[in-house]
Amino acid sequence: MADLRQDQAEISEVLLRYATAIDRKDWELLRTCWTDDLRADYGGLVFDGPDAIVRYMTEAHREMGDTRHQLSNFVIKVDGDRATASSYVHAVLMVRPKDRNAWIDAIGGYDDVLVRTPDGWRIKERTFHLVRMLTNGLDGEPDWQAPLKAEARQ
Amino acid sequence: MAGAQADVWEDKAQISEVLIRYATGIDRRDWELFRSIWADDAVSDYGRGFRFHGPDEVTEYMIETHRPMGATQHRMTNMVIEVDGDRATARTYAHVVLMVDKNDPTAWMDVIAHYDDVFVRTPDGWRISERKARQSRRLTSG
Repeated sequence: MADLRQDQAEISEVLLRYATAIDRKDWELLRTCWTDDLRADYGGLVFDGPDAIVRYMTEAHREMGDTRHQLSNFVIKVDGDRATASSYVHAVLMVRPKDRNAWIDAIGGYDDVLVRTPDGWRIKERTFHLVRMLTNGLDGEPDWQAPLKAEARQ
Repeated sequence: MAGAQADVWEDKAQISEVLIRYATGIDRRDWELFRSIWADDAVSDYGRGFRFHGPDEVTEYMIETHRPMGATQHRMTNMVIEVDGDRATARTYAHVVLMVDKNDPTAWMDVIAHYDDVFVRTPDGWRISERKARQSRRLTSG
């Protein structure tokens, strides 16, 4: 039983590492969350491999001010070298650094499959689903495809 | 949990408890509980000139500032803790919802903030010796 608690604690730290990495814009740290064969589905936006998701997140957050991906309600089940984890996220994104009234506020959840690797637990599959999104001070709806178009131009 | 690793996880669990105790203390207006989280020489900096030295100063400030309020919640998440012997650092996210006027149920403040802390191990357990609090977003009802 003691090993289960250790695994759950280590998996919790990986889930938090995702939030810490994005919120500090530490893209090398973000890369360490994933297995090489990661598949992530963010409500139809699909990423195959760590490079794809890291490039997207880098571009999407590059010009933003503070972001806070607040995680709670961790449910972690471990079965040998494989685990499932679900968590709630409340993401507050200050989309323009000098404008305290421009923000996106997203409530949703992640469902993950993790595997134990020589470098510790890593996320192999992730699904994000949205529960509620509020915005303030934006020109229209956020364009989640925009970071992909920016990457394609590079 | 085995050996020396177990000690670090135990330290993190205890530090997490102290972080939650900050919230429980304020939100229940349990000022003895709130006072108990601070080291004797603790320095706390809430920005814009709000700096306090020692447990009594910050406790007195919290008593006064929350006096007119109704219910409050300091929702603490994302505790990222590094332990190094008898010292530790932590960054914690706080989503603070304050009903700012106990006589007006429509008056609220909603703050997204984070705390950067230095903890020290004392004979009474882990205590906060330095806190820096900063806000990312503040909303008010009116």
